[in-house]
Amino acid sequence: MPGLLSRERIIAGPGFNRWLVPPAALAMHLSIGMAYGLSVFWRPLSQTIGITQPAPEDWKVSTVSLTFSIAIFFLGSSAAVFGRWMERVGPRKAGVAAACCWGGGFLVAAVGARTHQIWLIWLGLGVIGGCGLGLGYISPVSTLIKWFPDRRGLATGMAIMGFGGGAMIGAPLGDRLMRHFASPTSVGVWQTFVVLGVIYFIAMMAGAFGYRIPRPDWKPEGWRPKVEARSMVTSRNVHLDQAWKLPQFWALWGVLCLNVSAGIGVLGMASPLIQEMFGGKLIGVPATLAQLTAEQKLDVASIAAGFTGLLSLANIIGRLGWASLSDLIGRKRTYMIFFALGAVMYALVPTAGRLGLLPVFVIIFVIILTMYGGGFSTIPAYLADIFGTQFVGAIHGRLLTAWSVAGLLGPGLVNYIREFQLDRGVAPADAYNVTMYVLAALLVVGFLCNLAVRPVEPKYYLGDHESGAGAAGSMAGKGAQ
Amino acid sequence: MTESPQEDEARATGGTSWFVLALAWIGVGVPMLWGVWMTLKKAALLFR
Repeated sequence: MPGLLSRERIIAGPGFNRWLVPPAALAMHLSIGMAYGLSVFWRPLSQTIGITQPAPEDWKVSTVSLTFSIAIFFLGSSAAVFGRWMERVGPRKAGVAAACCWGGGFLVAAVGARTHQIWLIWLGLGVIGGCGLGLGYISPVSTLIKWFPDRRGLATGMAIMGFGGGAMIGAPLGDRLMRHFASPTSVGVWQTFVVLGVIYFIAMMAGAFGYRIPRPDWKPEGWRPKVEARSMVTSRNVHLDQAWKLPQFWALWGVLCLNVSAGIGVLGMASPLIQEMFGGKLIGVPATLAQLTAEQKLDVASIAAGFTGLLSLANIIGRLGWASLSDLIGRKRTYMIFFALGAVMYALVPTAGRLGLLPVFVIIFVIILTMYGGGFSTIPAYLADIFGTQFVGAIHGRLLTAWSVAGLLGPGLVNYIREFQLDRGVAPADAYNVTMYVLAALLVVGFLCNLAVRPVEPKYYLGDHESGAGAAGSMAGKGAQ
Repeated sequence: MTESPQEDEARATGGTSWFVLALAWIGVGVPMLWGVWMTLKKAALLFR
């Protein structure tokens, strides 16, 4: 009898509806997507001793916010390291491990917040939680691609949309819980961590137990792969050990890294960017940000928070929209649009700012952020098209190291160039102009990387007897629909 | 004829009722809609 978490246990039987898999994947991704919302805890965590204001013994915001960088680093690393294991043991075991890591990470961090030990917060949410992020991120991707060979983009877009949307739920929920638990002796963070840890554990376990895999020869009813018409889509498979040695893998690594670098750079700086570029114009006052009163600055900050929220929505919509569109126009063309249109959009930002065209500025950033999100959600389908579906989960895991690099490169570039400009005496409103041109140049390089993506040479594909050997067992029932 | 345990298991996991399908989508859809609503409320400040 196969174990409860084993791969054989979750092979779909007759009559299984494949549309049950996306909500399971969403439950996983909506939970781990809270990684983007962790910033709601940084300020309260910097006042755990002083409660109403930071005490000398309290941590600095920069100290606690380091947790996010650690988590993203471990996301990429664990996805790369455990991708092969996940392909072997199946998505349910990987999903359960992810639930234990992410939920458990919150509990460890709760102990850290309660006992005021920063290393426990870094260990809990950063290292253990980060591994949960990596495992949770890749666990449904390969399964969805196998269930939706006819709509790979839509399927992965639905799941990865959840990662973008997790913070929309988790951040306001965390805020409300902290207010609920706050008292004269506590900022309410450790209690909130405990509650969130339990909620996320349950949601992710539900997702993991909702995963089902199709039998290897399963296809949607009436669907025939169109490999002849679209040479960029293969029906064969490249082994993981071979795939990462091929130029196609590194071209796609560059595609993801450059697309994410540009987007993540502006996403992290969206709030100060709009405030410094438009200043008082945001509230109808003809003045720079520095000339505003404290009260006016608060109003401007609220509007900037609204701008950031809008960008989060654009990011989510892009994840579903662009990935779905890529099913119709092809992955390569989709990334061509990201890089070409993106470069033009970034280059237009300084002009929109200089002319004070706020609606144009907002539209430009909304478009940019849809393409940032679309880049994440389209890449698994692109990998499946080029390398086949058999090892796509593990290959995707290795490709996510590009995200780790981009997480450092993008914000680093934006911050460094801004500081450099300010040091040279450039006005804050103009300090982002060069940055935008540099980000546009990054996208041009990304365009070239995408151009370099070609079909894999036939000699690298697995033979028919090897292909499918590691896939789901052949004992599945028939007629899954 | 005796079926293998895997076949038994496959049969047991098969068959999806529309109720289960709707429940699964509501389970993830409601929190998502709440999150979108909260974000839209925040974003509305930009257009005030």
